[in-house]
Amino acid sequence: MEVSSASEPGSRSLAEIGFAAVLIAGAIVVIVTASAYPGESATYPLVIGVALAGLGCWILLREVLRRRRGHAMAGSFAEHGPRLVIGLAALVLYILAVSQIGFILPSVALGVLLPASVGFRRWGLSFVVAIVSVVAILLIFVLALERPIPPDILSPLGRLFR
Amino acid sequence: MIDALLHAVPLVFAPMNILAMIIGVIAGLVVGCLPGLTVVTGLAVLIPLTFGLDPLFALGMMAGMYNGGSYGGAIPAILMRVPGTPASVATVLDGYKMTQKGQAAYALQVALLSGVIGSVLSSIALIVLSPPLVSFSLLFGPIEYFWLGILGLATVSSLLGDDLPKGLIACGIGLLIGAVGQDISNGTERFTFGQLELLDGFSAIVLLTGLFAVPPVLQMVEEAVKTGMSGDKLKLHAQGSVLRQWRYFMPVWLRSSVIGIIIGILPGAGGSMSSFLAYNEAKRVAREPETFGHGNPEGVAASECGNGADNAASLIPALALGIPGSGVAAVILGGLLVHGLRPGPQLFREHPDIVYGFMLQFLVTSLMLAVLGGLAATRIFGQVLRLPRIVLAPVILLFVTIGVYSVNNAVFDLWVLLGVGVIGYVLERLDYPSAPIVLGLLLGPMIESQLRLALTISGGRTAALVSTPIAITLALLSAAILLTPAWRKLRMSA
Repeated sequence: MEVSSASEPGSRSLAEIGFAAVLIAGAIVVIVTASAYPGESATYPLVIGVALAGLGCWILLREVLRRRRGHAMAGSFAEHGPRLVIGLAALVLYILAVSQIGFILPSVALGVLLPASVGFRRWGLSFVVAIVSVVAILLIFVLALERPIPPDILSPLGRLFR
Repeated sequence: MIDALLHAVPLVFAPMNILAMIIGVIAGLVVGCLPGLTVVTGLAVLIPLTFGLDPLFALGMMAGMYNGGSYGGAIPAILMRVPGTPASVATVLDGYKMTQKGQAAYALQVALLSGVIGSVLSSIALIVLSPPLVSFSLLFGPIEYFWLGILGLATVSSLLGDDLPKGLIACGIGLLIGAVGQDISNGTERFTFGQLELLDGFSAIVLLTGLFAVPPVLQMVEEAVKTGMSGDKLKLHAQGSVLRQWRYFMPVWLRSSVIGIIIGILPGAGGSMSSFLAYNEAKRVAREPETFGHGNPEGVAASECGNGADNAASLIPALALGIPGSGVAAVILGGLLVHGLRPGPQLFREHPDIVYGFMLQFLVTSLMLAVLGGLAATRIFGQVLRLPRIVLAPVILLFVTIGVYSVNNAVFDLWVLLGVGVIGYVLERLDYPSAPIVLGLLLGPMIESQLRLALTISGGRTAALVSTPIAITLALLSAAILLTPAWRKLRMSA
């Protein structure tokens, strides 16, 4: 499922405004939450919240005025929107899978399927790189450094890593 | 200082620490030569992997990666006309022209030796200049430390980006993240929202890794580069000895090293600025400046020497005062704190073996680079350039995931990594600098506690914050740095 279309031009300006709006909203939440803290504990986050809200307004107004004058920030926010979505989805699914079935299988799957999902079809190379990486990580982390890895369903390896 | 250095020597040359430095240099060469990955990304991946290890083992890897990555960027710059790191952009100008003339191997040798000389002189500057700066900082009390923290935030927010409000927002986000967790003075829980994992605040390692390692991965997926470099370009054969031509290169090396060291020490500068300034200076004083940009080896020497010379120098204010001279230094500062090492006089007093050992590791890894970055090694490590970059994206993710998980043995940290990574990507796309976030997180708690202490000592008088000459100087410096962008704008419009 190769994706080839690019993001709409001008999305950078909208993203600028959107992020500033989110920042202002977040700063208001910070101010409201911090107001409930006792004395000294409240002052520091309150000052930061107010400063962030002010700076967020500055960025938002600046971009809105630029758009009105026809000087909005050019270009698109993402280099390739659909691929970005694929990358983000892969990250979410990967962490979800690691938390459920452990590190090994999701890691091999990520190494093969992520490149494939953006059009890279040299399966053999992807597979070899993924396997070598996972084996190297297991050798370095589990055997050499004796560090924990997420509990794995693979038996008997799964029991060894628990 | 001499005693501390002598004590550190056996530690630095312990077999495991030598191994760490070798691994660091090789990893740095690989990271540096991969376009799209910077030394900062490499360090962000490395720091969680080294968590829990002996500090000098971890710091040796960091020093090696910094020096190795600095030269690694020159390999694709010379062979492919693609700078591996922003600091190797100036190397492209003459380096690639030399490749076109069939002098690729010679250009790589010039770049390597120049980088080594710059790095060695920079390491010596680090060893010589840090202790006096530390002695000066012994005059500091809570008020001065408060202003020092503010100065650090002001420099990084104002000078590391092109847009002051964005730098300040990034800094504010970092300060806010640093405020999450229990207030150490009275135990109040701030912004934990009932999550036990947040009682001690966000882990600096997870934050560093998310901010600097995840965005490049997402960018690699977006770019989806499906081909690697042709193997023919790595068939390198020696073309004369650069060492034998030392008289020819010496003036360029000395000038570029001085420029690199000065730029490295200055907060907010470094990297590409030092290599470009060194390149321009070499061109300005050259007998035939018109040959620059057409394959003049002096251009490659100046750029790479300036680039190497700002590496260790950028750590002088970072180690002595806690103010990093560059984005990379900010990340290394985070790496030190992760290992429980807080920069400043305390570090020099309580852990002289580690801090001087770290400085020596910079010197040793600079010299190691001469061997590990040679033509034979470039042929081996350069093979990674043949792999399509899209295949490398998941590999980075695997290392990052396992490194972050093993810090607290918690899946929660992986979700934090994802969230911070996405925020880091958005900030990067919108040209918000990431280094102020890290510095805000690291310096925020110190600034808050020193401010409270200063006000408690003075009985709540805010005027006490500007009651000493050092405090006034630091406050004025911070104000001047914050006003620099406005002054620049004014000058440009005049």
